[in-house]
Amino acid sequence: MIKTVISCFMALFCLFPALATAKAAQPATFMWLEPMSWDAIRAQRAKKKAAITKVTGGQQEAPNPAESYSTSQDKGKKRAARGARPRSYYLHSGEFPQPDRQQSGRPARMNGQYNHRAKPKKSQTQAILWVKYPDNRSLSFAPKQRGPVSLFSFPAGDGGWYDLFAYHDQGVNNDSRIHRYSYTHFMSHGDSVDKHETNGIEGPGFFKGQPILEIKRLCADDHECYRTHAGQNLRVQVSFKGEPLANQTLTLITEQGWKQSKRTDDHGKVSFLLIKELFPEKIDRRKSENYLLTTEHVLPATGVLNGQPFHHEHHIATLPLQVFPPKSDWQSKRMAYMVGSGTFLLAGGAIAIRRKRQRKAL
Amino acid sequence: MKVYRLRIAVQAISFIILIYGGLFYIDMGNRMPTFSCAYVDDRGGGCFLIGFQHMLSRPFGEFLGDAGIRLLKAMGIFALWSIVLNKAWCGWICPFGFLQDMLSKIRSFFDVDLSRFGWITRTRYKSVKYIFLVLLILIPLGIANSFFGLEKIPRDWSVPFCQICPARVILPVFNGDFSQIHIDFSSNTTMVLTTIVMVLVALFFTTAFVKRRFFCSYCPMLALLSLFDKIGLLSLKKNGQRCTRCGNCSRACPMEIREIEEEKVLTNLVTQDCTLCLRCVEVCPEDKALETRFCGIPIFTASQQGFLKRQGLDEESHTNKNGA
Repeated sequence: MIKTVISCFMALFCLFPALATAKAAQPATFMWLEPMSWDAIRAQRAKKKAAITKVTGGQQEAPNPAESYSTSQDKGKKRAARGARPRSYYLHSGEFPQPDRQQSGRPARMNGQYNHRAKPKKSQTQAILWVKYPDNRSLSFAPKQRGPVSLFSFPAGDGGWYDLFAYHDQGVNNDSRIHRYSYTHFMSHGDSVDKHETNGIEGPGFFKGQPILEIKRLCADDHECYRTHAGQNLRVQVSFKGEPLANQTLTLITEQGWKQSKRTDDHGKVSFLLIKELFPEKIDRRKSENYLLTTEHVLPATGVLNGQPFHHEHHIATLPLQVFPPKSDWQSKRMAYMVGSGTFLLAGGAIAIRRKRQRKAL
Repeated sequence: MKVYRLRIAVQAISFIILIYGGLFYIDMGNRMPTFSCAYVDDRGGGCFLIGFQHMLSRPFGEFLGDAGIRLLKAMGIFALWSIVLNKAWCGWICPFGFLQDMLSKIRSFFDVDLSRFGWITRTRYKSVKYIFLVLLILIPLGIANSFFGLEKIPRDWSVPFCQICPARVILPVFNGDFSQIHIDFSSNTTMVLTTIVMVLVALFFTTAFVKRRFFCSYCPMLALLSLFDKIGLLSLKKNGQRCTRCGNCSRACPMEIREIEEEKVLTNLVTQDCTLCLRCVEVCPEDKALETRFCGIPIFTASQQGFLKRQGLDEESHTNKNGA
């Protein structure tokens, strides 16, 4: 009995410094891209329609969505996009998972760490976004910043893969200069287009056409990256200025707050098995959970930015993921084989009996 | 060489190109008037119907813009393909038709009797493919638009024909992909549709085994191709005065088209169900009674000599036998 009590005290004593450190640590702030959900798009459309009906009494037609693109370049592209549906993305900035995010039927975690009534601080610098089209052309955006979340839209009429990059030079904080990157991609259905030759994107946050710190998803085929399901293996490669980063720590964070960290191999590659999240009981295969893969690369660098000296440069990159329920939750192969073979036997039997009767009648 | 064997060879090559063509960097686009299923990963070309249904599921207003131009462009490509080869797409190229022909081959190998539709049955079920065609146009339109103030059709009904098409389940299997064999329990609609497709897959194997080209009788692609059958460059002509109504053509026809035997007045015989397999021309024993033309130039004509040669008989012995 005494031994047990002593060992408990010893364990608590050993754990205390670790607990104290965890409490003292500030939650990491990330920047990540998130597609606007269909529910939000529908709600936005309904809101616009209602506003128009209220003002004009339903006399005026809804404006063309192509007019609302916040493109800063290439007016020709804007003209070509008339009639094509825009894609809308959020650019989040802050901690992940978001503490104020209300999920249906699930307890809100991390309560008390975030005051949702407090007015969010506006960053002094602005994030820059690039969209790389399936034809290799790229457009840059400077989304209007409204607190920790910015919304931006762009035309996506052509069929193929679109790459989205976000870069934010956060400035100097606690003796460190912070650069934040986020990368995502999606596929749009439609007619494929001819590719143009480019030298990649040139601009802040890029080195020789590639993002300075990049978490690149490795896909065996289009299916693997088109829709990510729980249970799949997520394979990524981390590179810094085009060179693979070995022994780099990556952390996968789920919306529920679960984390898993792994280190890259000599080729900068690492794989994660995507765990099953708490999907709603009534399975809707279109409902997804947000995961975030993050990495931070720190380099010694001395300099002065806006009168503030710094001695380190922090490069923080994120790869947001939308993870859908595993197929095994809503698909049954066994049932399909049963239905198929049952029908096969029934139809075959019916044909055989009918033929037998016909022969008898003859 | 027998046309039948040539057709099997062309079908086999088309099957390889359309199912495995992607492995050899072949891409013939996604507007092909044949069941080259878009669910096959390494396909060399894609079926027009899936893109057509996707393009239709948009609000009417969008058809006045870029979406309308895309739809017209897609239909133009489809029309061009259709006009060039007419319904030979079904008889000579369709991978799904090839599978049915192979099942018929297996049937004849095992000496199983062939089933035939009666005249009434055939007439009664002839319109099913048109019903499929109308539904595959109306349902996608109803997803993005409300008709007569009714509720919009749920998104679960998108690409409705592909959801019940047995080719979607069967053809990817040749690519080693069994993922389409499943019943989707995520909603009542998908559960019903995926159950229907599994029933149709089973029926495809049983019916195609006992009846030639059973599925083609209900194929909406054949119905869509019928729009161009009179203006197609490939045509089938009949000279009614030379026809003796021996019935060889209608017996040999995999689609059991009787008009080919009975028609005396019409010269263009590419009917609604015809797949231009040219089996009728091959078995016709009368000189120039049936003729296949491309751009008006005869490319394959029925002849007594050719018929006898294909039957393995020489003309002299045939004359002697007839004389005797």
